[in-house]
Amino acid sequence: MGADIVHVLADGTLLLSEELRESFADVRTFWATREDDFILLIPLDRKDEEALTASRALAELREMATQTGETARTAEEVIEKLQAIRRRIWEEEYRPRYLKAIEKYYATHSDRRPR
Amino acid sequence: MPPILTVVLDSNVYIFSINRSEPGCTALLDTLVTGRWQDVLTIATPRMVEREVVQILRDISPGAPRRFYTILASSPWNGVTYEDPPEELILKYWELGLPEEDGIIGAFAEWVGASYLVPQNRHFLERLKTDAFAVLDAGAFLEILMQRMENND
Repeated sequence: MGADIVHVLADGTLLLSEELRESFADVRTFWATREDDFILLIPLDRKDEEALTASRALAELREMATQTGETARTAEEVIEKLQAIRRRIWEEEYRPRYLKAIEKYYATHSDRRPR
Repeated sequence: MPPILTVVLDSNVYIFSINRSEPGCTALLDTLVTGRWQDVLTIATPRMVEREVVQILRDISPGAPRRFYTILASSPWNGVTYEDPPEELILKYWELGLPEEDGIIGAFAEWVGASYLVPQNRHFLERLKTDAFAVLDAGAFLEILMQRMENND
């Protein structure tokens, strides 16, 4: 396996290795989701498929949710699950960035400090 | 022509719409993915909302996040904003009574100049009072949107 270093050209073009280019030859567009120090490229649209519209994407998501029983969750269960995810993401990804603001806030609102 | 509306949808609006468990959320997303919103509406999405929805969708199917990103890449969505709001704004929303993790959503909505924040969560709807934007549930926001479209015709 060759080195999969991707060069970034001055105009922003990514120069893929031969191997990567072949692997994704059928992809028309990627979604680039950003993490702290890397990006993740997610194939969005493939050349051999009919273009996926937002409307079709939503219909397919609903179909998937029905098949996996996700639709059986109550509103309270969904909100509880989302709140737990949000708290975890806050703790892991945001809290370290906002430590100064957090300390400033709890210096005057000690009663609201999470236990 | 009225200015373009900027709106922030909270994570639960997407999940309730995908689950079809809240009629207002289902109708709102149906309207958004099928309408023509150029010069009318733009939806700003903070990375917190992206992360949350994608985590739920991964449990549904490995292919589900791709569908969600297709929606975020389509009009009226304006992708995902990966920059975070400034500290002063987060402090403002903590002062207004939001918990730490929800403060980021309020701060984001003000930071991007949103006119509306749309959660489907009593907690947010009852707790957040701000002059920076209106907080409405999906059904109420859809009514405003439809009125606006009628006035544009």
